[in-house]
Amino acid sequence: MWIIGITLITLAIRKKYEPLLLVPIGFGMLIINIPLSDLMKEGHLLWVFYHFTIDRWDILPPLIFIGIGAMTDFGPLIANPKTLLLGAAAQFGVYMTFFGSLLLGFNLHEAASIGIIGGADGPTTIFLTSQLASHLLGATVVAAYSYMALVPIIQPPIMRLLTTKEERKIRMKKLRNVSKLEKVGFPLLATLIICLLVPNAAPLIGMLMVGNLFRECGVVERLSKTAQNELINIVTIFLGLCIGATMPAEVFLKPQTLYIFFLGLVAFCFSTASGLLLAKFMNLFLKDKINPLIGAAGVSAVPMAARVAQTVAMKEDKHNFILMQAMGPNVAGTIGTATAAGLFITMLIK
Amino acid sequence: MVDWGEAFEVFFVGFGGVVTCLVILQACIIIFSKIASGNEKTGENKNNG
Repeated sequence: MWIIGITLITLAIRKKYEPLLLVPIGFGMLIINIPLSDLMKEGHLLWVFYHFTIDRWDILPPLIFIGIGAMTDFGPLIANPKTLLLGAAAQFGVYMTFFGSLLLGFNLHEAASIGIIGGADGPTTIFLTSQLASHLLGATVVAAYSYMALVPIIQPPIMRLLTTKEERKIRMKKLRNVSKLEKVGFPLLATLIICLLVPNAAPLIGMLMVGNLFRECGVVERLSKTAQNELINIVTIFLGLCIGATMPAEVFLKPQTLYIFFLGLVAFCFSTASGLLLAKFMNLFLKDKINPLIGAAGVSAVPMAARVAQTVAMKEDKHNFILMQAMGPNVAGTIGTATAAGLFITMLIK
Repeated sequence: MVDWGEAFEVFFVGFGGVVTCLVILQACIIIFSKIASGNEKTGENKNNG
Protein backbone atom coordinates (compact mmCIF):
# COMPACT_ATOMS: atom_id res chain seq x y z
CA MET A 1 0.00 0.00 0.00
CA TRP A 2 2.96 2.30 0.62
CA ILE A 3 4.01 1.71 -2.97
CA ILE A 4 0.51 2.51 -4.28
CA GLY A 5 0.31 5.65 -2.12
CA ILE A 6 3.72 6.87 -3.25
CA THR A 7 2.84 6.01 -6.89
CA LEU A 8 -0.29 8.18 -6.68
CA ILE A 9 1.69 11.07 -5.18
CA THR A 10 4.38 10.66 -7.87
CA LEU A 11 1.79 10.61 -10.69
CA ALA A 12 0.18 13.73 -9.23
CA ILE A 13 3.49 15.59 -8.97
CA ARG A 14 5.26 14.45 -12.14
CA LYS A 15 2.33 13.93 -14.52
CA LYS A 16 -0.09 16.42 -12.91
CA TYR A 17 -2.81 13.71 -12.72
CA GLU A 18 -5.56 15.33 -10.60
CA PRO A 19 -2.89 16.56 -8.12
CA LEU A 20 -5.34 18.35 -5.82
CA LEU A 21 -6.89 15.02 -4.93
CA LEU A 22 -4.29 12.38 -5.60
CA VAL A 23 -1.70 14.02 -3.31
CA PRO A 24 -3.92 13.94 -0.17
CA ILE A 25 -5.40 10.55 -1.17
CA GLY A 26 -1.93 9.06 -1.66
CA PHE A 27 -0.75 10.51 1.65
CA GLY A 28 -3.84 9.27 3.49
CA MET A 29 -3.24 5.83 1.99
CA LEU A 30 0.37 5.91 3.16
CA ILE A 31 -0.24 7.09 6.70
CA ILE A 32 -3.13 4.71 7.37
CA ASN A 33 -0.95 1.73 6.47
CA ILE A 34 1.79 2.55 8.95
CA PRO A 35 1.56 -0.14 11.66
CA LEU A 36 0.23 1.15 14.98
CA SER A 37 -0.49 4.61 13.58
CA ASP A 38 -4.15 4.09 14.58
CA LEU A 39 -5.42 7.20 12.80
CA MET A 40 -8.62 5.43 11.73
CA LYS A 41 -9.31 3.91 15.15
CA GLU A 42 -12.59 5.13 16.65
CA GLY A 43 -12.14 8.60 18.12
CA HIS A 44 -8.79 9.25 16.39
CA LEU A 45 -8.04 12.07 13.96
CA LEU A 46 -8.89 10.67 10.53
CA TRP A 47 -11.68 8.51 11.91
CA VAL A 48 -13.36 11.66 13.27
CA PHE A 49 -13.00 13.45 9.91
CA TYR A 50 -14.24 10.44 7.98
CA HIS A 51 -17.02 9.44 10.35
CA PHE A 52 -18.61 12.85 10.69
CA THR A 53 -18.06 14.35 7.26
CA ILE A 54 -18.53 11.38 4.93
CA ASP A 55 -19.73 8.21 6.60
CA ARG A 56 -22.38 9.63 8.92
CA TRP A 57 -23.51 12.90 7.38
CA ASP A 58 -22.06 12.79 3.87
CA ILE A 59 -21.51 16.56 3.80
CA LEU A 60 -18.16 16.92 2.01
CA PRO A 61 -19.34 16.06 -1.55
CA PRO A 62 -22.20 18.61 -1.46
CA LEU A 63 -19.77 21.24 -0.11
CA ILE A 64 -17.45 20.55 -3.04
CA PHE A 65 -20.45 21.05 -5.32
CA ILE A 66 -20.93 24.61 -3.98
CA GLY A 67 -17.40 25.36 -5.21
CA ILE A 68 -17.95 23.61 -8.54
CA GLY A 69 -21.17 25.57 -9.06
CA ALA A 70 -19.38 28.83 -8.30
CA MET A 71 -16.72 27.97 -10.88
CA THR A 72 -19.10 26.76 -13.61
CA ASP A 73 -20.47 28.88 -16.41
CA PHE A 74 -23.75 27.34 -17.56
CA GLY A 75 -23.95 29.87 -20.41
CA PRO A 76 -23.05 27.36 -23.20
CA LEU A 77 -25.74 25.01 -21.91
CA ILE A 78 -28.38 27.77 -21.76
CA ALA A 79 -27.42 28.96 -25.25
CA ASN A 80 -27.78 25.45 -26.69
CA PRO A 81 -30.13 23.47 -24.39
CA LYS A 82 -30.26 20.42 -26.66
CA THR A 83 -26.79 19.56 -25.39
CA LEU A 84 -28.56 18.44 -22.20
CA LEU A 85 -29.53 15.34 -24.18
CA LEU A 86 -25.87 14.55 -24.76
CA GLY A 87 -25.26 14.82 -21.00
CA ALA A 88 -28.16 12.40 -20.48
CA ALA A 89 -26.89 9.95 -23.12
CA ALA A 90 -23.51 9.77 -21.43
CA GLN A 91 -25.25 8.31 -18.36
CA PHE A 92 -25.95 5.18 -20.42
CA GLY A 93 -22.43 4.00 -19.56
CA VAL A 94 -23.30 4.28 -15.86
CA TYR A 95 -26.27 1.97 -16.24
CA MET A 96 -24.53 -0.50 -18.58
CA THR A 97 -21.71 -0.88 -16.06
CA PHE A 98 -24.29 -1.32 -13.33
CA PHE A 99 -25.32 -4.49 -15.22
CA GLY A 100 -21.73 -5.51 -15.90
CA SER A 101 -20.98 -5.29 -12.17
CA LEU A 102 -23.98 -7.46 -11.33
CA LEU A 103 -22.73 -10.08 -13.79
CA LEU A 104 -19.34 -10.07 -12.05
CA GLY A 105 -20.98 -10.90 -8.74
CA PHE A 106 -21.41 -7.52 -7.06
CA ASN A 107 -24.72 -6.80 -5.33
CA LEU A 108 -27.13 -4.02 -6.39
CA HIS A 109 -25.68 -1.38 -4.04
CA GLU A 110 -22.10 -2.16 -5.02
CA ALA A 111 -23.01 -2.24 -8.73
CA ALA A 112 -24.57 1.22 -8.55
CA SER A 113 -21.46 2.59 -6.80
CA ILE A 114 -19.21 1.12 -9.50
CA GLY A 115 -21.44 2.23 -12.37
CA ILE A 116 -21.40 5.85 -11.24
CA ILE A 117 -17.63 5.95 -12.00
CA GLY A 118 -18.74 6.27 -15.65
CA GLY A 119 -20.17 9.68 -14.82
CA ALA A 120 -16.56 10.84 -14.29
CA ASP A 121 -17.58 12.92 -11.32
CA GLY A 122 -15.53 12.38 -8.16
CA PRO A 123 -17.77 14.06 -5.55
CA THR A 124 -20.86 12.28 -6.89
CA THR A 125 -19.02 8.93 -6.74
CA ILE A 126 -18.13 9.63 -3.10
CA PHE A 127 -21.66 10.78 -2.28
CA LEU A 128 -23.27 7.66 -3.72
CA THR A 129 -20.70 5.07 -2.64
CA SER A 130 -20.60 6.29 0.96
CA GLN A 131 -24.36 5.73 1.15
CA LEU A 132 -24.62 2.47 -0.75
CA ALA A 133 -21.33 0.59 -0.37
CA SER A 134 -18.91 2.45 1.89
CA HIS A 135 -16.49 -0.53 1.94
CA LEU A 136 -15.79 0.18 -1.77
CA LEU A 137 -15.24 3.91 -1.26
CA GLY A 138 -11.46 3.91 -1.67
CA ALA A 139 -11.39 1.78 -4.81
CA THR A 140 -14.26 3.56 -6.60
CA VAL A 141 -12.94 7.03 -5.82
CA VAL A 142 -9.36 6.27 -6.86
CA ALA A 143 -10.73 4.69 -10.06
CA ALA A 144 -12.96 7.71 -10.76
CA TYR A 145 -10.20 10.28 -10.24
CA SER A 146 -7.62 8.20 -12.10
CA TYR A 147 -9.84 7.86 -15.16
CA MET A 148 -10.78 11.56 -14.98
CA ALA A 149 -7.08 12.33 -15.17
CA LEU A 150 -6.70 9.89 -18.06
CA VAL A 151 -9.50 11.43 -20.17
CA PRO A 152 -6.97 12.73 -22.75
CA ILE A 153 -5.67 9.18 -23.21
CA ILE A 154 -8.92 7.17 -22.98
CA GLN A 155 -11.29 9.28 -25.07
CA PRO A 156 -9.47 10.15 -28.35
CA PRO A 157 -9.23 6.56 -29.70
CA ILE A 158 -12.97 6.04 -29.05
CA MET A 159 -13.72 9.38 -30.71
CA ARG A 160 -11.72 8.49 -33.81
CA LEU A 161 -13.21 5.00 -33.96
CA LEU A 162 -16.82 6.17 -33.89
CA THR A 163 -16.61 9.27 -36.11
CA THR A 164 -15.51 9.90 -39.66
CA LYS A 165 -12.99 12.55 -40.67
CA GLU A 166 -15.79 14.64 -42.20
CA GLU A 167 -17.81 14.49 -38.99
CA ARG A 168 -14.85 15.63 -36.93
CA LYS A 169 -14.45 18.58 -39.29
CA ILE A 170 -18.02 19.85 -38.79
CA ARG A 171 -17.96 23.50 -37.78
CA MET A 172 -20.66 24.62 -35.39
CA LYS A 173 -22.47 27.93 -35.28
CA LYS A 174 -21.18 30.45 -32.75
CA LEU A 175 -23.21 30.35 -29.54
CA ARG A 176 -25.59 33.24 -28.91
CA ASN A 177 -24.99 35.61 -26.02
CA VAL A 178 -26.85 34.62 -22.87
CA SER A 179 -28.44 37.43 -20.87
CA LYS A 180 -27.83 37.96 -17.16
CA LEU A 181 -31.50 37.24 -16.43
CA GLU A 182 -31.15 33.78 -18.03
CA LYS A 183 -27.94 33.06 -16.11
CA VAL A 184 -29.50 34.07 -12.78
CA GLY A 185 -32.75 32.24 -13.53
CA PHE A 186 -31.06 28.98 -14.56
CA PRO A 187 -29.89 27.78 -11.10
CA LEU A 188 -33.34 28.52 -9.65
CA LEU A 189 -35.10 26.74 -12.50
CA ALA A 190 -32.79 23.71 -12.45
CA THR A 191 -33.09 23.36 -8.66
CA LEU A 192 -36.88 23.51 -8.76
CA ILE A 193 -37.25 21.00 -11.59
CA ILE A 194 -34.66 18.41 -10.62
CA CYS A 195 -35.27 18.53 -6.88
CA LEU A 196 -39.03 18.21 -7.39
CA LEU A 197 -38.55 15.20 -9.68
CA VAL A 198 -35.64 13.55 -7.81
CA PRO A 199 -35.61 14.80 -4.20
CA ASN A 200 -32.60 12.62 -3.35
CA ALA A 201 -30.50 14.58 -5.84
CA ALA A 202 -31.18 17.78 -3.85
CA PRO A 203 -27.97 17.72 -1.74
CA LEU A 204 -25.82 17.72 -4.89
CA ILE A 205 -27.97 19.70 -7.33
CA GLY A 206 -29.04 22.21 -4.65
CA MET A 207 -25.46 22.96 -3.62
CA LEU A 208 -24.25 23.05 -7.25
CA MET A 209 -26.92 25.60 -8.08
CA VAL A 210 -26.51 27.76 -4.98
CA GLY A 211 -22.80 28.04 -5.84
CA ASN A 212 -23.75 29.03 -9.37
CA LEU A 213 -26.28 31.57 -8.08
CA PHE A 214 -23.50 33.18 -5.98
CA ARG A 215 -21.46 33.47 -9.16
CA GLU A 216 -24.15 34.83 -11.44
CA CYS A 217 -26.22 37.14 -9.23
CA GLY A 218 -23.33 39.60 -8.98
CA VAL A 219 -24.12 40.88 -5.48
CA VAL A 220 -22.34 38.28 -3.33
CA GLU A 221 -18.89 38.35 -4.84
CA ARG A 222 -17.29 37.49 -1.48
CA LEU A 223 -19.35 34.32 -1.15
CA SER A 224 -18.61 33.37 -4.74
CA LYS A 225 -14.86 33.84 -4.27
CA THR A 226 -14.90 31.92 -0.98
CA ALA A 227 -16.79 29.02 -2.58
CA GLN A 228 -14.37 28.95 -5.53
CA ASN A 229 -11.22 29.13 -3.42
CA GLU A 230 -11.10 28.73 0.36
CA LEU A 231 -14.15 26.48 0.77
CA ILE A 232 -13.35 24.04 -2.03
CA ASN A 233 -9.66 23.93 -1.06
CA ILE A 234 -10.31 23.18 2.61
CA VAL A 235 -12.93 20.56 1.78
CA THR A 236 -10.59 18.96 -0.78
CA ILE A 237 -7.87 18.49 1.86
CA PHE A 238 -10.20 16.65 4.23
CA LEU A 239 -11.92 14.74 1.46
CA GLY A 240 -8.63 13.49 -0.01
CA LEU A 241 -7.15 12.49 3.34
CA CYS A 242 -10.34 10.72 4.43
CA ILE A 243 -10.64 8.79 1.17
CA GLY A 244 -6.99 7.74 1.37
CA ALA A 245 -7.60 6.67 4.95
CA THR A 246 -10.36 4.27 3.90
CA MET A 247 -7.79 2.10 2.15
CA PRO A 248 -5.99 -0.12 4.63
CA ALA A 249 -4.23 -2.99 2.85
CA GLU A 250 -6.74 -5.65 3.99
CA VAL A 251 -9.60 -3.70 2.36
CA PHE A 252 -7.88 -2.48 -0.81
CA LEU A 253 -5.63 -5.36 -1.86
CA LYS A 254 -8.33 -7.71 -3.12
CA PRO A 255 -9.21 -9.03 -6.61
CA GLN A 256 -12.44 -7.06 -6.20
CA THR A 257 -10.42 -3.82 -6.53
CA LEU A 258 -9.09 -4.91 -9.92
CA TYR A 259 -12.65 -5.66 -11.06
CA ILE A 260 -13.70 -2.18 -9.96
CA PHE A 261 -10.88 -0.57 -11.95
CA PHE A 262 -11.76 -2.66 -15.00
CA LEU A 263 -15.49 -1.89 -14.72
CA GLY A 264 -14.74 1.79 -14.16
CA LEU A 265 -12.84 1.86 -17.43
CA VAL A 266 -15.71 0.07 -19.19
CA ALA A 267 -18.14 2.63 -17.74
CA PHE A 268 -16.01 5.49 -18.98
CA CYS A 269 -15.73 4.05 -22.49
CA PHE A 270 -19.48 3.37 -22.71
CA SER A 271 -20.30 6.89 -21.50
CA THR A 272 -18.00 8.41 -24.10
CA ALA A 273 -19.38 6.21 -26.88
CA SER A 274 -23.04 6.78 -26.03
CA GLY A 275 -22.59 10.57 -26.09
CA LEU A 276 -20.85 10.38 -29.47
CA LEU A 277 -23.47 8.08 -30.96
CA LEU A 278 -26.39 10.22 -29.79
CA ALA A 279 -24.73 13.29 -31.33
CA LYS A 280 -24.46 11.40 -34.64
CA PHE A 281 -28.10 10.34 -34.34
CA MET A 282 -29.21 13.91 -33.63
CA ASN A 283 -27.43 15.02 -36.79
CA LEU A 284 -29.90 12.95 -38.84
CA PHE A 285 -32.64 15.41 -37.84
CA LEU A 286 -30.85 18.70 -37.26
CA LYS A 287 -30.56 21.45 -39.85
CA ASP A 288 -27.49 22.93 -38.17
CA LYS A 289 -25.29 19.87 -37.68
CA ILE A 290 -23.41 19.40 -34.46
CA ASN A 291 -19.86 18.09 -34.30
CA PRO A 292 -20.30 14.60 -32.75
CA LEU A 293 -17.09 15.07 -30.78
CA ILE A 294 -18.95 17.30 -28.33
CA GLY A 295 -21.06 14.25 -27.41
CA ALA A 296 -17.99 12.70 -25.79
CA ALA A 297 -17.85 15.69 -23.44
CA GLY A 298 -21.12 14.47 -21.91
CA VAL A 299 -19.05 12.61 -19.30
CA SER A 300 -18.61 15.21 -16.57
CA ALA A 301 -14.82 15.63 -16.08
CA VAL A 302 -15.20 19.41 -16.42
CA PRO A 303 -13.48 20.97 -18.34
CA MET A 304 -11.03 18.24 -19.38
CA ALA A 305 -13.51 16.32 -21.59
CA ALA A 306 -14.46 19.52 -23.46
CA ARG A 307 -10.77 20.31 -24.02
CA VAL A 308 -10.18 16.83 -25.40
CA ALA A 309 -13.06 17.31 -27.88
CA GLN A 310 -11.44 20.59 -28.95
CA THR A 311 -8.01 18.98 -29.35
CA VAL A 312 -9.34 16.10 -31.46
CA ALA A 313 -11.36 18.51 -33.65
CA MET A 314 -8.30 20.73 -34.20
CA LYS A 315 -6.26 17.77 -35.39
CA GLU A 316 -8.57 17.61 -38.44
CA ASP A 317 -9.09 21.34 -38.88
CA LYS A 318 -6.83 23.82 -37.13
CA HIS A 319 -9.45 26.56 -37.28
CA ASN A 320 -12.36 24.57 -35.87
CA PHE A 321 -13.15 25.88 -32.39
CA ILE A 322 -15.75 23.75 -30.58
CA LEU A 323 -14.60 24.25 -26.98
CA MET A 324 -17.52 26.47 -25.94
CA GLN A 325 -20.03 24.19 -27.68
CA ALA A 326 -18.47 21.19 -25.91
CA MET A 327 -18.85 22.90 -22.52
CA GLY A 328 -22.65 22.53 -22.89
CA PRO A 329 -22.74 18.70 -22.73
CA ASN A 330 -19.85 18.79 -20.29
CA VAL A 331 -21.78 20.70 -17.61
CA ALA A 332 -24.95 18.80 -18.56
CA GLY A 333 -23.02 15.64 -17.68
CA THR A 334 -22.45 16.96 -14.14
CA ILE A 335 -26.18 17.56 -13.72
CA GLY A 336 -26.98 14.16 -15.29
CA THR A 337 -24.59 12.23 -13.03
CA ALA A 338 -25.88 13.94 -9.89
CA THR A 339 -29.44 13.12 -10.98
CA ALA A 340 -28.47 9.49 -11.66
CA ALA A 341 -26.96 9.27 -8.16
CA GLY A 342 -30.18 10.65 -6.67
CA LEU A 343 -32.21 8.06 -8.58
CA PHE A 344 -29.96 5.21 -7.43
CA ILE A 345 -30.46 6.32 -3.83
CA THR A 346 -34.22 6.64 -4.31
CA MET A 347 -34.49 3.15 -5.74
CA LEU A 348 -31.98 1.27 -3.63
CA ILE A 349 -32.35 2.73 -0.13
CA LYS A 350 -35.77 1.75 1.12
CA MET B 1 -28.19 -13.84 -5.45
CA VAL B 2 -29.03 -10.88 -7.67
CA ASP B 3 -32.66 -9.85 -7.93
CA TRP B 4 -32.74 -9.31 -11.70
CA GLY B 5 -36.26 -7.92 -11.58
CA GLU B 6 -35.09 -5.12 -9.31
CA ALA B 7 -31.95 -4.66 -11.41
CA PHE B 8 -34.00 -4.08 -14.59
CA GLU B 9 -36.31 -1.75 -12.67
CA VAL B 10 -33.29 0.29 -11.51
CA PHE B 11 -31.98 0.38 -15.08
CA PHE B 12 -35.19 1.45 -16.81
CA VAL B 13 -36.54 3.78 -14.15
CA GLY B 14 -33.06 5.16 -13.44
CA PHE B 15 -31.87 5.83 -16.97
CA GLY B 16 -35.37 6.80 -18.08
CA GLY B 17 -35.60 9.12 -15.08
CA VAL B 18 -32.33 10.88 -15.91
CA VAL B 19 -33.37 11.36 -19.54
CA THR B 20 -36.85 12.58 -18.55
CA CYS B 21 -35.44 15.05 -16.01
CA LEU B 22 -33.01 16.53 -18.49
CA VAL B 23 -35.60 16.68 -21.31
CA ILE B 24 -37.99 18.56 -18.99
CA LEU B 25 -35.15 20.87 -17.94
CA GLN B 26 -34.30 21.47 -21.60
CA ALA B 27 -37.90 22.41 -22.40
CA CYS B 28 -38.05 24.75 -19.40
CA ILE B 29 -34.78 26.45 -20.37
CA ILE B 30 -36.12 27.08 -23.89
CA ILE B 31 -39.38 28.55 -22.53
CA PHE B 32 -37.54 30.61 -19.91
CA SER B 33 -35.09 31.96 -22.50
CA LYS B 34 -37.99 33.06 -24.71
CA ILE B 35 -39.69 34.82 -21.79
CA ALA B 36 -36.40 36.42 -20.73
CA SER B 37 -35.59 37.68 -24.22
CA GLY B 38 -39.20 38.97 -24.55
CA ASN B 39 -38.78 40.89 -21.29
CA GLU B 40 -35.54 42.42 -22.50
CA LYS B 41 -37.10 43.53 -25.79
CA THR B 42 -40.01 45.11 -23.90
CA GLY B 43 -37.50 46.91 -21.66
CA GLU B 44 -35.53 48.15 -24.68
CA ASN B 45 -38.73 49.39 -26.38
CA LYS B 46 -39.75 51.27 -23.22
CA ASN B 47 -36.29 52.88 -23.02
CA ASN B 48 -36.45 53.89 -26.71
CA GLY B 49 -40.02 55.15 -26.37
